[in-house]
Amino acid sequence: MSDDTDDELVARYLGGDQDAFASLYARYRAPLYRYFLRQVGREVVDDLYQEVWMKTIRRLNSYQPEGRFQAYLYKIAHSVLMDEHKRSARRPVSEDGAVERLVDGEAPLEESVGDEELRSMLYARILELPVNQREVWLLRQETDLSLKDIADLTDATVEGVKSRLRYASDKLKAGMRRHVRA
Amino acid sequence: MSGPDRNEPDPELMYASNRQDEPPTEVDGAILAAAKEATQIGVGEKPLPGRLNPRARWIGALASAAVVLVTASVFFSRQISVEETTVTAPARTEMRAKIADEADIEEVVVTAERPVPTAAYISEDRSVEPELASAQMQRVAVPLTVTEQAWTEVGNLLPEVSVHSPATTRSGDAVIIDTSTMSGARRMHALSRDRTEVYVEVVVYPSLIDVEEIYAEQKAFILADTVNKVSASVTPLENGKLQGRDARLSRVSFESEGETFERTFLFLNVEEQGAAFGLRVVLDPRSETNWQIVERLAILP
Repeated sequence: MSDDTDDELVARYLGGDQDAFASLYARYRAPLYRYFLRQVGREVVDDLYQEVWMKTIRRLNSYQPEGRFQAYLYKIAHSVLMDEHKRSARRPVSEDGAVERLVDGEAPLEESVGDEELRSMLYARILELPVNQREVWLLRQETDLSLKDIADLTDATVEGVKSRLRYASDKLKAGMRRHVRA
Repeated sequence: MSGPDRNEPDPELMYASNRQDEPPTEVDGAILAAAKEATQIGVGEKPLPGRLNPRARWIGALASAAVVLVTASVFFSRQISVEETTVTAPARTEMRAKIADEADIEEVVVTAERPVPTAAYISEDRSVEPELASAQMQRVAVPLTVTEQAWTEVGNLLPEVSVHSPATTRSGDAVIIDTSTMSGARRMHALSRDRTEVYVEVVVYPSLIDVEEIYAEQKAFILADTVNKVSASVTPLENGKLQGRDARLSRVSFESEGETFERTFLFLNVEEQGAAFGLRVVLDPRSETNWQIVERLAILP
């Protein structure tokens, strides 16, 4: 992995160094992918993820090297995500039947659930969060953006972001508490 | 002060310990290839095409096919649900969509008979031979409207508002009908590929709406999106009318990726026949087809 800063990689890439982009891409590919994966249906994740990178590549010429590439990338991602929400409201989807079974309450609450089920259940709970709470919670988990950065890119105040994080965390805990054996 | 409860679930910790998902290899490949291509043509100098990997193109083709299929399904399912072989379109000798502005009254009045050819030739036979189905499609497409396009009803997706839209654009592309539900509001969006020739979005809210509040939210959203939109303007709410009903309207203009987009927003509350709901209609005002769709909206049909 390159030790260069994001801005240095961007500059090298704009100078024609393709390896620099590969290094930059490697830094953010997985977190950015999960940012979408945990918020929209699997059927559109790849498209949205690619759209963000295509827009980023297209606009790099206008990027101001101020050490904020990550914020720049996620600002584009946020915009793509909002467009997707406008296009279609996504129903919470689960990745396996166990989640639906748990969510529907068909499984005894005291039943111990395995790690896999618990993980799937967490993802389902995340999908059930209100859009604005879900996004800031995921940005907090997947990036090292500051609260100020998150507030800026989601058009919220820092206090608003804090509030959303608190509500999101409380709801996730409450949702999980039902399924974790005491 | 009690310490942390060991049995208390920790979603942040659980999430952090399960961060495994990554983009598929072929997606990585497509993006890196696009980045490589951009360095060869000069990053940002030329819009990157949607030229991704073959899989992505294939998915695109499939998506287009799916749109056609869905459109055709809506078309035929509507046909099959009607009993008679000849159905008179919602006859309205005078359809009027009036957008009034105190300073600049813009009025669209349609006084001519404009029968909507929905389900004009219909068979109940669900085992329609492909050739026959094709022939029926062609018969329905006989130019019965001023736009010489086949119109179809998609409004049964919104019981409170019957929506008629051309099934295709003038160039023959399928009009995409997109529906969704969000927070109890149901949305039907008819749009063409260019997002101009056909662009009408109808949202039915589950109850009466605070127009000022929804307008403010919409305005903030549009003006805040500085990534996709180079510039944007939103006019203040004005008084207007939609089919005789009091409405509020705003005109939006924005530039994105070298194109200029215009949208007219109409907001109104409907309290009739025991129903009470809010309605938002968004259209591209530059296309006559869109005004025709708005004129044909049948509220509480």
